[in-house]
Amino acid sequence: MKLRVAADLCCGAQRCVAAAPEVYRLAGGFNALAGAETEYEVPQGFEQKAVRGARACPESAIKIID
Amino acid sequence: MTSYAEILTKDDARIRKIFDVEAETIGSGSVVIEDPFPELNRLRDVAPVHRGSLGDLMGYPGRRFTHHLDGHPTYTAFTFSAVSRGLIENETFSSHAYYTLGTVAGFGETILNKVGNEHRRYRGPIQPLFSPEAAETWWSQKIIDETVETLISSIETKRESDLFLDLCARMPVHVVSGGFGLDPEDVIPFRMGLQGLNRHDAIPDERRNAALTVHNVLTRVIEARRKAPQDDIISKLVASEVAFDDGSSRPFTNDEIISHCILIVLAGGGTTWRQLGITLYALLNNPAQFEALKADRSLAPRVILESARWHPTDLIFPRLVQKDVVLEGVELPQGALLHLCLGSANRDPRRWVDPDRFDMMRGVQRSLAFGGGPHSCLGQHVSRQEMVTALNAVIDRLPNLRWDPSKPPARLVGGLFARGPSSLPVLFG
Repeated sequence: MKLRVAADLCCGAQRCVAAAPEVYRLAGGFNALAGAETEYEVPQGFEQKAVRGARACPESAIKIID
Repeated sequence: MTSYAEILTKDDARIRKIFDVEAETIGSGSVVIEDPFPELNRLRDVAPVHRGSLGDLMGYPGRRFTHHLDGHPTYTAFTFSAVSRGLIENETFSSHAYYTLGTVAGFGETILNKVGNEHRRYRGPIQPLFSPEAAETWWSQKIIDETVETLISSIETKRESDLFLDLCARMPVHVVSGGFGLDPEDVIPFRMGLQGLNRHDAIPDERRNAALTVHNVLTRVIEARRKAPQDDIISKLVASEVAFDDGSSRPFTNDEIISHCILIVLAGGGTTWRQLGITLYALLNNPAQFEALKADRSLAPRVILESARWHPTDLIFPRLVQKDVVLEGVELPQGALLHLCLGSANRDPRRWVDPDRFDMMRGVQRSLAFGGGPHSCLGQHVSRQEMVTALNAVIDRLPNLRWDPSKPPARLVGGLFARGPSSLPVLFG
């Protein structure tokens, strides 16, 4: 499973981190995903949590692309 | 029964009284500030964080409106990075400041006063009602489209208008109150009650009466919706549940629903009014950009974001420092009050090129106009949807829109909060 985050939409609410700390973390202010990557491979076994994290985003900044 | 259109467009002296930026500024104990940005830019360029409240640093008299707390040293953050950190690290920089300062006295317990898990627990069920998708679909169909259509149909029969009163003021107060499920007839008295709660100089009797009006209107709607739900936000809140870590859950209480209605309706009615006014002001003063928008409507959301970056209605948000911490090299002691200056952060040259210029063609970079972090503006998508709908209606229905040279020119005014145009006198056709 692959995710894409729109860095300019992320407002640092950290609801993704609360829902799925194994998948998301806040990096460098306004960037929800690790590093500045716009696309991110979800570790195996955490797909459901990743989806929950994406749905929790108040800005709809996280899209599941694959 | 009076129709929605009649209530919405009726000539109502109360509208002029409630929606007056300069009177509201003076009523809050502030002086009227014309252009704060040169001084904000200067302070930001001297240091990212200063000791002192924003009002004191800018040399404005008055203590109440500058958010002082006796016995708490005050600091102000000016740069984008310092203000972002203040917003995102909510457990260190707490929004409990609004309660300590008394800004929200009479509101009851709300999500503004919660941090961490507790905040997520309560905001979680409310969030989906204000998501980008809900704004585009439910809010538009339920009330935004009809409200804008009704207002613009009334305005277009004339040749001149003060768009600040005829459109900007009337739209959001009816959209947000109507979306919650209030009867249109109750909207203006309810708004006056909310403002009574919010006045800094209210005497206890006035505050009690204002609180009574607000609570009575809301309790009536909540009780009615508990018996017979309808398609509105209060019905959705009545049906929502707060979930706890042990897996249990319970519905929101009446008091919880009331306090959140107060917070959201007050915020939604006031900020959108002023920000739409600032957007129209910027477009009328930048005819080339106005023409570019007319030619390409897909730019409308960017125009709104750029207007909110360039001149947000609120220049500062307060926070309370929860533990000793170093912010951009400045030591802040536990208990300090921290002013986060969104106004200067939004014009930080480290983030934007030529930041003082209103330029809707610049690449979209998130600004701090809607705050950020866990308390990032709940209603921003609904607000932006309202403003985009209103902008499109203005372009479609008021051709050849221009300033009315026979009226006093519009100015951007206000204090450190609640800024907006003095008026928007226009001609069209």
